[in-house]
Amino acid sequence: MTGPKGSGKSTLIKALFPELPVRFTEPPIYRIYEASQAMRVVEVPGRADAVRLLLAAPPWKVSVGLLLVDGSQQPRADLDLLPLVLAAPQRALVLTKLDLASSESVKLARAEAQKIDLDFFAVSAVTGQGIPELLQWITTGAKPKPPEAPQPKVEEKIAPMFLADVIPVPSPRPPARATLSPEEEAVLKACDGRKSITEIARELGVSPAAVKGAVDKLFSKGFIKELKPKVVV
Amino acid sequence: MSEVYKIALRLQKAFTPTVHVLVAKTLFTYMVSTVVRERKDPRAVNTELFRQGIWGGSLAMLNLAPVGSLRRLWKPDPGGVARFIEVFGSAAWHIFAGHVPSLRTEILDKRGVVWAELEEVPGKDAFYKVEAPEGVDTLYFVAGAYEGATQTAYRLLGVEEQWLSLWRPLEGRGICGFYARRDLDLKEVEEAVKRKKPGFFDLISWNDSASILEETLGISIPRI
Repeated sequence: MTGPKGSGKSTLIKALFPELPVRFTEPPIYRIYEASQAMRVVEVPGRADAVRLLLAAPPWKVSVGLLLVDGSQQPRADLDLLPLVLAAPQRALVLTKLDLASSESVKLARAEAQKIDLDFFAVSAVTGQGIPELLQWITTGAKPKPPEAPQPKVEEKIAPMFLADVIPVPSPRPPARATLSPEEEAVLKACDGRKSITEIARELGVSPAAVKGAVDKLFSKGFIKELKPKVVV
Repeated sequence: MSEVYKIALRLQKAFTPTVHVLVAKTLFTYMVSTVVRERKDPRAVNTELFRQGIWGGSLAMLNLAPVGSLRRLWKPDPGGVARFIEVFGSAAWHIFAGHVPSLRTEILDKRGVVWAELEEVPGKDAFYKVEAPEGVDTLYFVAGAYEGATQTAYRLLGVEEQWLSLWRPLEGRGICGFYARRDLDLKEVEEAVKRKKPGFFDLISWNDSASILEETLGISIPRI
């Protein structure tokens, strides 16, 4: 099982196999859980280097591969992680956090799965939606039936209220040496001292929360000097 | 050590720009009025104030706490964590409410669960002390601010995936919360917190906090 950080790998393992002593931290290269004598669950972090390493010297035979996408964010499959999932004869794209996902996100993720030839499941570890179907598919290989795939909760969502927007101001003297993730690099490139977090999120096609996360990390590394409040009309 | 920081804080406040509490109260009243008009139900108002607080607390942590100071003070053993809360918990209250609060910490589990209660000093004015409709508790904003600030501090310290911290109001006289290691049995942590303060998760549950933190700050804490 692999997926980007925060996509809910550990939470899904706990929902599928509640008896396992799941750790909720990102594994360094991989983490193995013994689900039964015949089944091991391997959690792989959503990093291309971990995937490359495991593909170069696979320490086990992968029979079921799950690629996770976060239903509360843009449900895009990370293609860097795909080769590991494709190494398994039985593989699926799993949209997690279905309780927070819009029906549009579910539709997009299903289309994405079709495009890369993976079975598709939409699940919520919080409400339990889709978990029994996924577990049955893992253990028996029974194909999921699209019309019976769980739908997101039909619940009137209250529109979130406005949060005070801020402009991340880049530092005039950034550190000479620092390691930045691709997300941090993209956000830093978009920071021009005039655009707010919401505007950067719109430009990059990601959520404001994702931009805020990258800004926090850039701040701690000395690339962002301050956050200026901005009135957005 | 905490005493030295307290003196440094007093000096900092004496020499940095400050503002009369009336200005902050007027702006805060405007914000609460807007939320009340928008949400109406007091429980929904309190939840929205908490969400706004999370965002504000995170921004405050980024703008006001030097990362170097955070790193110097952070010692991930329960005693060290208690001292960390004492210094930064008091500092934040001092900066935003204008006085040093009464602060108590207690180690609930030696493996890494530390409880904290911050109580206002009676008679002291502060930005959140505004008249609000019945059922609306403006301390939800303050509790949210502490939750957002602490989670942001974890991110700045690089321990975002090892610790979590949740905060709630303390019966109209302050706020309370806890720091916990994520690798503990979180159900047990929840039970320990409920034993300490039975109504802690009544309005905003553990998972509600997780949703709000994820949606506002992109911080993912394990759900239970």
